[in-house]
Amino acid sequence: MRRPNYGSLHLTAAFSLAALLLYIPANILPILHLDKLGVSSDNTVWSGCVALFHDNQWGIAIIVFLASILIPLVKLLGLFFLVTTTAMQSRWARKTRTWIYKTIEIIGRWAMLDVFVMAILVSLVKLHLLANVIPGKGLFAFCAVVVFTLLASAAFDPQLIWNDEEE
Amino acid sequence: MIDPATEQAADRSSDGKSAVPEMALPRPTIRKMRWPYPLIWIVPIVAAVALAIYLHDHSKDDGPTIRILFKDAGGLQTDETVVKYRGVEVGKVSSIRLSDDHHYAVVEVHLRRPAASIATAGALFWIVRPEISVGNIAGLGTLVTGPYIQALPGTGPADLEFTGLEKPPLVPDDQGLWLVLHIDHVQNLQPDSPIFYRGVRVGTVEEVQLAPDSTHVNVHTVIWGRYAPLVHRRTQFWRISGADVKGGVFTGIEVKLDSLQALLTGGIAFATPETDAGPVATEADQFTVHDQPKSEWLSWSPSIAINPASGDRAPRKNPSKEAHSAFDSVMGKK
Repeated sequence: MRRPNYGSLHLTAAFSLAALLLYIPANILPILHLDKLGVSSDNTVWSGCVALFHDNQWGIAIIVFLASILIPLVKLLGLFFLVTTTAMQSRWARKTRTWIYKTIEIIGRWAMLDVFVMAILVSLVKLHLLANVIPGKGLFAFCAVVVFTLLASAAFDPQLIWNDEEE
Repeated sequence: MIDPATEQAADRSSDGKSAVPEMALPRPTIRKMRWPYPLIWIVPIVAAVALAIYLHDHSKDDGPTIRILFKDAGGLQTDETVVKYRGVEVGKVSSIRLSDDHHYAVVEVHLRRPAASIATAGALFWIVRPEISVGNIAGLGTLVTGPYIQALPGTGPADLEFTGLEKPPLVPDDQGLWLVLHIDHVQNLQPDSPIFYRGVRVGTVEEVQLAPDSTHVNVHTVIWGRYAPLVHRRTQFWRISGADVKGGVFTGIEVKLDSLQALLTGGIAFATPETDAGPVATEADQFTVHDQPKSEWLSWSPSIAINPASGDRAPRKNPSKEAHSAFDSVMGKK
């Protein structure tokens, strides 16, 4: 059995904290600025969901909401929770925490899909030459959240949950 | 040279060694792996700084939400219709609903922070829509973009509730001379009909109303500020129809066109006598519009200094310096 990687705690905690911090501007600030025939609109992820919902595309609206708002938050909070309890060397509910870790790994794959949606949308709109799409301030925060979340979940070593440092 | 931290750690590990028998060998390896990781905490610190900057920027741009009552909010759209002042976007419509008594459309506008001072008592708001009438085409751009709300800041204390105007206010920010002209019959005079002095347009008919006692028609006109000194108490006004057709056996038919617009919308001309013109007219003076000018009116040619145009009030010696000082006075106010 290999020795757990203690450094991974620092990495996971730091990356997930950074991602959590940037999660706020990523969702408050517009990620997309749309100029359509002189009418400009700023779009946040949330306003995109609402617009889809009002358009009766509620299936897509729910997917976008889950993938870009709810799941990233759950994933980050879960990771942060795991990392803090592990750092405190808690022996509490180790099975549950392992289960949480596994769940995060599974649902985490569904996070942040809409970056791809955005890429498609941008190219689509650019093709049409009718609207001008400019990335908003929030998009950079959004991308940073994606990267940090990836790094955080990659860095976490689940073996640490079961580790007792001083044996 | 030995780093004090390393030294201390080495001490600790040697202490540990002395307490526990030979088996605790892997520990120095762990210590060595550990030291770079705290550096990673720079990442969340940078993220926190970025968050602070983001939120600061965001709040800096975030102004008050004001409410404007319109009789008709047709064409306005939530999150799309903008509020403009001097062509600059200063806010956006955030919600539109019907008032409780169903008499008004309540339009909520989210202003940007730098433009918050527009929302002061006396501020005027009106909706700019495409407008095509005889002699006047306005707001054509809104055919494509949809209507927008035009703002004109007030001067009073800050306020959050306003009543929108039905149409643009009459000659905003221009110190024009308002006159009420009496006329027997309007014929084709209408709002926007021109007022001419020697063939130069110097004013506009703003409103045509029947007099309170219905004996005549009151034509509310504004003589643009620049030309206000032209009107004196003894100034004579007459109607121009645009085209004047005279026929005679020996002269043939003579057609005189004053102005194409006047042909469509009618118009009013005036002349001021060279002598005995009286003092410069005020808004209290009453004038009658005649159907035909007397021939001597047409030959009046008094020398009256008009106000300089607001655009080039300054001498044109050093325009760049002028522009700079204007820039400074605007930017310096902040």
